[in-house]
Amino acid sequence: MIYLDNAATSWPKPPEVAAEVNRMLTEFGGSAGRGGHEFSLQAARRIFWTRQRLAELVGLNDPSSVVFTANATQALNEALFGLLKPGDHVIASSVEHNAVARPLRVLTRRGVEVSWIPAIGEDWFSLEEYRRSFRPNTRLVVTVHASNVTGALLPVEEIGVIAREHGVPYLLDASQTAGVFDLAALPADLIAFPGHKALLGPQGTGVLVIRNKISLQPIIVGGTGSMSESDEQPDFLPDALESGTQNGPGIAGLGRGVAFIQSQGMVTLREKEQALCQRLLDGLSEIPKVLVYGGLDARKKAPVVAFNIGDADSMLVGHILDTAYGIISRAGLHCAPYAHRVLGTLDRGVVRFSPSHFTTVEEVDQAVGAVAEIASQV
Amino acid sequence: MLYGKLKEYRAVITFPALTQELAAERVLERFGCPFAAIPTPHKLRQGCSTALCFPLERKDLAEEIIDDGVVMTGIYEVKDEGFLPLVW
Repeated sequence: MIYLDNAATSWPKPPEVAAEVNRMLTEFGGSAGRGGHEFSLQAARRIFWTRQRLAELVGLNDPSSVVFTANATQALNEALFGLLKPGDHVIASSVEHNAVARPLRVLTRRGVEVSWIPAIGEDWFSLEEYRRSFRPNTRLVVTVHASNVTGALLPVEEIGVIAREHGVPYLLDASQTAGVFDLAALPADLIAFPGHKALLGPQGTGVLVIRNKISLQPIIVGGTGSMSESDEQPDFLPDALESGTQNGPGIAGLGRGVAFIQSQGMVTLREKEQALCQRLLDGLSEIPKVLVYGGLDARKKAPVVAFNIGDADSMLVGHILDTAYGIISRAGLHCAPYAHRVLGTLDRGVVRFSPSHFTTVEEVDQAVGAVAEIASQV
Repeated sequence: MLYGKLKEYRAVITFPALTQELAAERVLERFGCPFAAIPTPHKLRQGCSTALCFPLERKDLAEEIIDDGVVMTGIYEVKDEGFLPLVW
């Protein structure tokens, strides 16, 4: 099997990730933050260690501003439903994943207005339109960092700076970029990302980073192991947004994934991934009948490559890659109908390859070869 | 365009969600019926979904799947020229 679906979830993980999950289940199985006994504290310390690793990763001094969620979708929901009220205005891109698009759809029914900044030509976010879209009641800007369909990067530095000029917080969906690009210096006030993609953690983990003391109304309230004499939800982080028992094994494993990236060096890993993506882009773009989307320069993309073969249904191509060649890709709409509408591929989708730094050059060449063979037969 | 097991099995069921497809697999397993999960053929599809194909000669099992409460969006016989509603 050649695994090229890291944009969905990363695989393989470093062995220490699984080892840590196992240790949490077999040795440190206490309920973190509940009970006050040494067994629960041992589990809590391992979770706190992950919180500290993530705070370092995003350039924060205070680990309390790192909130754990089940996934990036929950993190985005916490931010969107926690911040926006009827009568508010929000600015978003036209290529958002459903993790943002669907909450905004629900919020518009509740009286929130959305300005969707258009993609124009090769430009997936018109900064000109964006500058014109601010209103007195603009409460939030939210965009994806890199499209999960094509990997194309949005101009997030400029987006954040302009939002700051208007005194409006910026929520960044870093699902495809956390662990790939440095997020610490980006002018984003809220950053949501999954633990199980490029951060190499287990599924069932996600993170919401909250900078600048932004206050969110929790969408899930309950037991936090704090202020237990009261039926009021605590208003301090992370407790305010972390009710109920967490995925301790998953979070601890995530910490090992982050530590792996820090020890190897994110820049080193990115260089390797970028070279593999460039090899994929170069190889695919030379195959007759293959159309590559989102540009041919891997430096301007997250490690995601999207393509189609002639008029073929993308899911048919993905199925052939899987069953005849053992190559795992993701074909279809990638939970991102808005991006496909921009690409004009809503009807048949695209095939998406997403290597990681664990992918080998040989595997990339085999994938290109397989696409060439399929293209000659379709 | 027919592909993979669709060419061989010739009966296909489409579903609104993966959970229903998986439930249908369990029913076919109970009756020892071979099957293959495939991307829903383009002509039968909106968005992305997984369909279930199985041998046409076992088409009576469609009744069992329905009786089990599985929600389907369609059941078809697969011809070279297209998909016809399956009659059993």
